[in-house]
Amino acid sequence: MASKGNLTLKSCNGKEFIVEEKVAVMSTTIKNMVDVDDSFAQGVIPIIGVDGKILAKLIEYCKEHAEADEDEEVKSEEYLKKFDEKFVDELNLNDLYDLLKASNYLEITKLLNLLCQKVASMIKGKKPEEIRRIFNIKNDFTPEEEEEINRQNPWAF
Amino acid sequence: MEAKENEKLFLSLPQDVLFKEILSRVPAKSIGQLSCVSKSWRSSLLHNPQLIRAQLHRQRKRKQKLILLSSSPLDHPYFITLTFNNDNNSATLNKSNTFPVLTSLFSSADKYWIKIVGSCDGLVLVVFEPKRWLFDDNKEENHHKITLRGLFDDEGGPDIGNDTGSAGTNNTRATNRMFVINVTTWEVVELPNNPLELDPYDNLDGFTLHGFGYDCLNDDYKVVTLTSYPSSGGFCSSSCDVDDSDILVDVFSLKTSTWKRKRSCFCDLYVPCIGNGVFLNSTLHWLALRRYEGYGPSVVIVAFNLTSEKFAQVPYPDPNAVGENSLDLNKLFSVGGCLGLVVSCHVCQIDVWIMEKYGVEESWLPFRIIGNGLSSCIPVCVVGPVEVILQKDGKKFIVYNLADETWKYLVIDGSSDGDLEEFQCGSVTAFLESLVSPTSLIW
Repeated sequence: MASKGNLTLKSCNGKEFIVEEKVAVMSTTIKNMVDVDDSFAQGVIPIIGVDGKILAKLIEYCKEHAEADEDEEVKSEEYLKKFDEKFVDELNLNDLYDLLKASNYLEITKLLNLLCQKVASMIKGKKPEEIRRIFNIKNDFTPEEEEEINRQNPWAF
Repeated sequence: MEAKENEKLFLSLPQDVLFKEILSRVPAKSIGQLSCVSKSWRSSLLHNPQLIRAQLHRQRKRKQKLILLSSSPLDHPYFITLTFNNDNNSATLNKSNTFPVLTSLFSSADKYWIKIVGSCDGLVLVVFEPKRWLFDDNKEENHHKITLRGLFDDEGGPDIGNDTGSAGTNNTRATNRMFVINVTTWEVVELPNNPLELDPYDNLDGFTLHGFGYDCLNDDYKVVTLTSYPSSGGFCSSSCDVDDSDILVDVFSLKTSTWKRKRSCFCDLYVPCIGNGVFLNSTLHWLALRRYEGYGPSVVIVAFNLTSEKFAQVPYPDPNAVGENSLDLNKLFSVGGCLGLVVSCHVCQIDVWIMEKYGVEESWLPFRIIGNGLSSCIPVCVVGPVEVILQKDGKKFIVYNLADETWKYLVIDGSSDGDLEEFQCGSVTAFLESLVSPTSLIW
């Protein structure tokens, strides 16, 4: 049971996190739940489809940003920018994907934006073979098919 | 196992996230490369209307590029694109030879005027008009007309004087040919000939104006032609007689691939002036002259709404405020989402009006571009918060800084003299990078 001003979030694999309300409501989905149904504010909020590892990441991100929103002196824009950079750089591909899905579901707009920008930058200006390597994608075209494709979109190369 | 999982990983994201938030941020070229990564990526991305719209939506907020035609006397014409760099003061030039469909037309370019009419959502309308003017008996009068057209800088094509009597004969009877091109993906579609069109050779005194735009209600791109069939006399200009010419309005829909005649929709009172339709707000705009003397200004702006396919008028700035005004110098343009009007050019200043709120007469704001040597400039596009690209004398490009009212030549591939001799006069259009396919629009 969380104390006043705190909420308890429960991951799909049963891990519970007690977080300040201002941190949790960075998620529009959670904010709506708390606003509509007071029992959520008292009890445990299940976060469906998000495991403990990813939920911890989400909370880490929201905590920094909630604190920055509250006090710009302590956490400057500069600081946040560095934090964001480090945050996305340390993610592996699977985490990146899981966080994208979770931040979309939980409507954490700022984080979703950050992650989407990250993925976009991983694609931008890359050749197909580089993209395959980065995203661990298998080339399932036969050499003949590949030749045909290159003929179809010469503009991309 | 790992590889297999990851292949589908990002594709399984909600489409709103994948298309609207991620791939819309990626340049069209990169999406082209991404579609070559694997079969599942290819089938998800290629010609996906959701992705095309999402990408377009974000691109609309980005810097545009310019497309123009080369005009080296030693070579066939080809398209050139200019991509503005991040400093907003320089651009990179790309030569594009890669529209196979157009190659044969380019190689007989001496028989055609090539006009880049306009652009919308990354598609560009290019018109090849046979040089029928050259074969009229009355060459003197012809030359006069062509000069008038030249004043408006809309005509492509090399210098008239050198070309009279060369290549092509009356027997050739080439027809107008129109192409819609996606300059980013190199997709080209040729429009079917307009079955309603009268033989241009029977109408040597007439002229056709073109416009290209998007009808957002019907999600359709449309080409509009205004064809004048004068009983006598020539082009509309303040120095010409305005007579009883008929204006035929034809509309081509890319979605249905059909031509329709909108006969007499063009208000009887007005005669269009030479110029390509200026597209803004699902509407094409032309300057026009009042056919009969009466109250009100003699120059008006006519607006053809691509959804209703009807003409209306857009208010012209208060003529008293505009002051001394000559139609020859008037030029409509669209820059940064606003309709604009050049009303006069002096040696060191250009008077421009911008309609800040579309359709609202009171929102026309006068605005002066000042700079020695800046006569005959026309705004082409906005490249930065305070930087506007002007085209000078139909060829050189200038970066005009609105904040400190200074100008300099656009640096192109490191060269800063602004002297772009190989560019064809006129015919320049700003376009954006898009994946809109002109071929898949036609059912």
